[in-house]
Amino acid sequence: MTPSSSSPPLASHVLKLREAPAHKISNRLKALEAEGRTVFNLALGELYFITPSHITHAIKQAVDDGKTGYTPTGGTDEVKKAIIDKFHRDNGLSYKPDEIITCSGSLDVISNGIKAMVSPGNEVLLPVPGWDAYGSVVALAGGVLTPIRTRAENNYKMTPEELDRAITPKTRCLILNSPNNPTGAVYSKRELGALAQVLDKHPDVWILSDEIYEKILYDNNRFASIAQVSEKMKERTLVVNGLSKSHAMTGLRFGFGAANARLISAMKTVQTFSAGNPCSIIQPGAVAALNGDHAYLNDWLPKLQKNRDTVLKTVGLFLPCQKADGAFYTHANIEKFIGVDSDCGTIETPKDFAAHLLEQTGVAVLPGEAFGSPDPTVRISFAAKPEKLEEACSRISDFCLRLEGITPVPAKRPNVLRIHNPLNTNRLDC
Amino acid sequence: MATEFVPAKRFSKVKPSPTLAITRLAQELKAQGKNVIGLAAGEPDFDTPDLIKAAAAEAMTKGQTKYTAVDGTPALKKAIAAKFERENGLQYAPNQISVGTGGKQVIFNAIMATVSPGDEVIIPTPYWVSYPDMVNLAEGLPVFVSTTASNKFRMNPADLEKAITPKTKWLILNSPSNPSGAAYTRSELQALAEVLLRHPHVWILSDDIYEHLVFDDFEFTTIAQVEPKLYDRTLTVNGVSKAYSMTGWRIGYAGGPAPLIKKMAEIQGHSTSNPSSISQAAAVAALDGDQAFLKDWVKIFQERRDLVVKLLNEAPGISCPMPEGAFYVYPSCEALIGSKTPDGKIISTDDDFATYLLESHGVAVVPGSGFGLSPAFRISYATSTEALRDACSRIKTACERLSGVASKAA
Repeated sequence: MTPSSSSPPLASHVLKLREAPAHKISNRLKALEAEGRTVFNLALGELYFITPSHITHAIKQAVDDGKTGYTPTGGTDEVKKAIIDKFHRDNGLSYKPDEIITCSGSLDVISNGIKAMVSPGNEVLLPVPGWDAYGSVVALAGGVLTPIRTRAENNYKMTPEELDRAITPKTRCLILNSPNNPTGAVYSKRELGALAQVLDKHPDVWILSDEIYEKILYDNNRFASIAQVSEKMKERTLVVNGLSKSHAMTGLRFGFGAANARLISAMKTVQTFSAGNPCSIIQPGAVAALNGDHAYLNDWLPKLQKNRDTVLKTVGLFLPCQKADGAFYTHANIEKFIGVDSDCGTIETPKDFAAHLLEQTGVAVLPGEAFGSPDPTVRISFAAKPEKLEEACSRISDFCLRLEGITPVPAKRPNVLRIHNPLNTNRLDC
Repeated sequence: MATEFVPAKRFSKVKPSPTLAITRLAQELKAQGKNVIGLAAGEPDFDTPDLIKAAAAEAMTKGQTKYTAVDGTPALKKAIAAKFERENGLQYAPNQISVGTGGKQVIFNAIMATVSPGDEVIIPTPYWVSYPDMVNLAEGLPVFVSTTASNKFRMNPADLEKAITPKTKWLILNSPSNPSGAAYTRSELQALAEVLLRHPHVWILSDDIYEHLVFDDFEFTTIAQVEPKLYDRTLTVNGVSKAYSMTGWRIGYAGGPAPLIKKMAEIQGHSTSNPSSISQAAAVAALDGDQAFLKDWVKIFQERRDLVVKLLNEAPGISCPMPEGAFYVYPSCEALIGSKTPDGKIISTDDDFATYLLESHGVAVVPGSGFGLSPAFRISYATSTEALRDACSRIKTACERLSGVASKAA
């Protein structure tokens, strides 16, 4: 039977979906790796740490105990209790079981939440730079994603004025993400309070607060949720969280949401007709994760902070970088290299920068276009193993040196520099 | 004052689950200490086989807890391609295979990818409750084609032809069926295929999830296999939930044209992303491993089926056809409509009958109203033989206690 190439009749809203820039980079990275090149994936949002053993143990136990059948769609009573306890303990927030839902990953919570809230034509506000997945989720629900351009001088944090200007009668929902992907910015309780004052004037606007990086904080930064600002805010906030980042459970797929019971009920309806309950053997793992010891973070976080500082001390010499207060991304500005020639041609955009960097050094980063960035930026993930990250950073630095017209020295840098040979004939197959 | 949450417009046609009321009532009675026999289960009562569990444990030990490719690992796609070739004579390349978080999600992704507001989807009755609601969520229009018990719940090719319009996007076939257990023979599928060949704009979604649960040496076939000319517009859906008792693990899959599979992957990438990495490893073991245990399970299910059909047909007013597969029977209670309970309540609908059975005799069945073919009810025989005997005995007593029962339907 010859493989089919026929085109199926696609739904109108699906036709609008574009291929994610991350996908393109990822595919090229795989191709280079298949060719035998050494590659460094700094485009990934996945920690190198191993899932803590008490979680692994709980999952194995669940398999042995035969927890292999359907559970209630939104999760077992046990896992909901563990989530309620977490919100109480970590955030001083009180929820009832019918205000909690568990899904196959936090993106699934966001997807169900948006489908529950957004009708065709509704506007959803997103401060940018922001994760591009939100836009696709909104588009699939027939909504219109309206970006709110934030500014570098504010550490790309949205101001109350920027929010106020952006709200229209069509605004259904505001998406907040703190700690932020890609900027690493963390909104303080005071800053959230100021945003809440604007939102108080628009009681029909709901809030989706993506808090997946809650536990990944550096220096003395503290986590705050807009749901903590007031009871009024809590009532119209869908708090989204999960275990992927904080517990290195990315592939296992477990996320959770907390909100108004009617919103949760609508989300459960969507889930009933799609993925059903989160994997039954993972839910006990989630209970162990939520209730268990978090001491391992005392090992992970300093390592991540060290990684962050590695990027700042190397790449940071060439590119203005945001110092991440949370999450595991360095948001770097590449404006100085716009219009500069690399061995692959002229760099006109961050997409070009990322593509040329990948071809010449094997290092993958994500271009700012992937985040709707108002400035020419790239996102460098520092979730990789330290040795890999160090090597990748020195390659990025070399790339930057070459762009500045300086031939990098093969040995450990940075003190000895040679003048670039303008007749460099080492052209790469870009 | 709290802002009232108003759900999005897509929920306007989605009805609350008709089985919910029965399930809640059953739970309440159980909580009160009443002896309730639940016959509503949509999953086998066996545990996942050991070799599959072992594969999961090994995957955990190896640390396979990271993101995988969105629509399935290469290893799992390879196992699925081998299964399609081995069991169905169908060839699918990796880019023609989609792995989702349950067969249900695979179907949901396909519907979301292709159904625009106003598009029609043909669904034969009785149907699995999720199909019309998925179509409604996508703001499409379910178009129901009735079948009858006397026709063994097979859709008539002429009825299919009448239902097709220029707006028809999909025909959903589910064989063996939930709730009826009916399965189409090869020649019956061929007859439907003849109609479909005359309407090249109609796509076929074949939900084969109960493929391995067929009895009396019934030959399972799937439409893309029966009519190769339909291969280019068929999505063949299956999963590991029922055959391997892995309902909670959440792994389903489909084979179909590459452009559709690609779009389904994009949609999945914006919701659940990859199915749980551990479940995927377990599914490889399920598909590639020794299938010997299946024969034992099928034998047990067949014995239970035979028992339940025999006993139900002894109950006055109940007429139960013999299904070819799955683990459900779908008896008619038409002859009981209009009868009166000892309390003086009139049985007007199958909902009333199901409530009466539960409240007065402690048996939980699912009323036919939720499956689009009334008056009837669904019994799942995925429970112990003792429980089934007890339940059927109670049903018989319940029917005997009704007054004014019409003579048994032919």
